[in-house]
Amino acid sequence: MSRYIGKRLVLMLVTLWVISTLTFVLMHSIPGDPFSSEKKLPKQTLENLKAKYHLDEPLPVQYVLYMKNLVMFDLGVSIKSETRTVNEYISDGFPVSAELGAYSMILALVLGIGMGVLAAFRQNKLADYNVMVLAVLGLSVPSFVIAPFFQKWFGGDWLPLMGWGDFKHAILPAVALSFLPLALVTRLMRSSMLEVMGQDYIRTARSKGLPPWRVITRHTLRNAIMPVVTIIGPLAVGILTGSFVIEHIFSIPGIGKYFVDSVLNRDYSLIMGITIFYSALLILVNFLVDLAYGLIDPRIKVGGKEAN
Amino acid sequence: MKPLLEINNLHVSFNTYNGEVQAVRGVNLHLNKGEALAIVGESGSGKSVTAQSLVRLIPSPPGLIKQGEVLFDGRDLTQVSEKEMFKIRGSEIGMIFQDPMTSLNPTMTVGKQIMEGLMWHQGYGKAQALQKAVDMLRLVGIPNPEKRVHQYPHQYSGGMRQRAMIAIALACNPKILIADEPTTALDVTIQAQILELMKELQEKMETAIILITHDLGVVAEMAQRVAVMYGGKVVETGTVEDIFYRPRHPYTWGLIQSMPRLDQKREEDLIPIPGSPPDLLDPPKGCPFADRCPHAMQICHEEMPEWTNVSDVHRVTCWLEHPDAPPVEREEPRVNIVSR
Ligand SMILES: Nc1ncnc2c1ncn2[C@@H]1O[C@H](COP(=O)(O)OP(=O)(O)OP(=O)(O)O)[C@@H](O)[C@H]1O
Ligand code: SF4
Ligand SMILES: [Mg+2]
Repeated sequence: MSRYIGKRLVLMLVTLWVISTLTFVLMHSIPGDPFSSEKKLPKQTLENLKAKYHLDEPLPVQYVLYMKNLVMFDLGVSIKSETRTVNEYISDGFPVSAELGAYSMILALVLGIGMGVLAAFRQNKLADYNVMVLAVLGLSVPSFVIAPFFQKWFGGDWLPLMGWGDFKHAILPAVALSFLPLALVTRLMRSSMLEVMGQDYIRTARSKGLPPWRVITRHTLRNAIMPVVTIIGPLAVGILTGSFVIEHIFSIPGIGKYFVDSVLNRDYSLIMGITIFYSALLILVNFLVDLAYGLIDPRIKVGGKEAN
Repeated sequence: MKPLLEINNLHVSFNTYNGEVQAVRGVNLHLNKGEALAIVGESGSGKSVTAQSLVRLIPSPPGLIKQGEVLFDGRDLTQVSEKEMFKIRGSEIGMIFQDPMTSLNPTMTVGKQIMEGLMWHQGYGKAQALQKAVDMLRLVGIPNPEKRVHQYPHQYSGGMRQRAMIAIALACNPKILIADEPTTALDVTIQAQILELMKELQEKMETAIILITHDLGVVAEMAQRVAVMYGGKVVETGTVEDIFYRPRHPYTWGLIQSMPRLDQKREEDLIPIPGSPPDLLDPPKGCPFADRCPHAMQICHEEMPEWTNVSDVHRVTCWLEHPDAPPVEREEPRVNIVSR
């Protein structure tokens, strides 16, 4: 097991290195640089600035410099703000984004699993149709369309329209952000429940005389939840990318907002920093999910040999 | 003596998009205490539906018990509340299913799956139930049960899983064990072992068994009485000797003829019955076998034959039994039961 984890950790580092290299190359292959929008700068100032951030060096040199700092967990200084480091941006923005993301994830999982179970039990009945309509809506309507409607309907007297502060501020954006993952979880949970409910071992459980709630809690749920666990990784991706837009719409000072700004500004170091940070996060989530499989399904022995 | 279980005029249907599938159409059966009754008949004849209807395990919807009674212990199981049914299933009537690979919960240890019934029905505590689970595994011949009890089904072989299923079904010492093709999915050598085990346990625990099978060899080995089903109906019933040596129903003859024998020389000696079973969406009003029966008469297509008592236990529904029916030349039965 520990050997497996070690192997995975090395693999994760390699993945991260590939991603950062790719981002570096891609970012520099787009025409323009952080200062190209500010036309009025005198030539000398521009060159000074470029020298300050080593932008005048050949790309390979810049790359090596960047990687050196990265190994020390130093993501550099934001080119645009000149004073704030990327690490500061992340340590400021991430807790906000993480809180928002966590609410959305919890909402999507709890409500999605609940609704999926309900729909499966009321298959082809009214509750099922309602749930499925909701799920289709969530899948087909992007969050940036939903969000403004939320602001219009619920914002104002009850809930703050935008900004960040107490829990009230989180409600609208979290619900808007959870729409897509909620729909995914609901649909998956419903189909997975239906599949498990038709399995022979459920009939076996019933043949023992167990009442329905026991059959569900002890036999159905655990088997039906597997597919949902496997999509937690992709769900996290969805919530992250969704948060870029949602944070913008609701003016939430999270990483997503900084990221969008950084791309617009060609703020090289901030783009790199956030990309690498989020990549690391996702790689970690996927790793944890893989470990969780083994806990839920005994047939999957994570890394180890079959114990017999 | 009153039978342990009595099925009267059972009708079970499935509502499908194409209409009502009348899977079971008026089945009458009884099971005596400690006896093994085999239900035979070709695929789709309604054996499983009959068995699962006894304990109301058919998926519902679409399945529905439309008519009839299942008398057990002074109660009609088609009428008792679902709550009462929970107490009967697993405790008074245990079940084993065909495919041991899929019939056990993959995410629960075998031990817990045995303990569950004990804790639910008999109020066992954890430790007590675990002990009993180990005992049950030992009883069904699982080696090293103290260790095996904590393992998951995927760590068991197919034969061992079926043994575990038997342990689950018998844990609460039920009066009736329903075994739906318990050996069909297993290797031939394992089949024999499982049958041996069931026979041994039946004698030890005095459990009555309803054994569903395609395999007449299994019938000969295990059962005292046989019910032959065709097209959702029981067409003939009697002792194993009645059915093997003195079959009266043309379908039973066909079944016996198509049985592979030890002294058989060539493949073509096996005579399958030509034709296909009746459409249960629109079942014939007469004898279900009429389309395939070499002796079918006009009346067979029009009216269902009554029951004829050949002897006390040997009963058959066929127009050939009618006094006015033309005499039919019956082939000598070509079986010897003591094979296998
Ligand atoms: N859930 C269901 N929905 C619709 N029809 C069904 C359902 N279950 C069974 N049937 C029908 O009921 C009839 C009897 O099925 P049953 O499973 O009892 O046959 P069987 O005698 O056990 O056959 P086999 O030997 O193949 O197991 C079949 O025609 C089948 O198509
Ligand atoms: S009733 Fe007629 S059709 Fe049916 S088995 Fe007897 S002879 Fe054949
Ligand atoms: Mg069957």
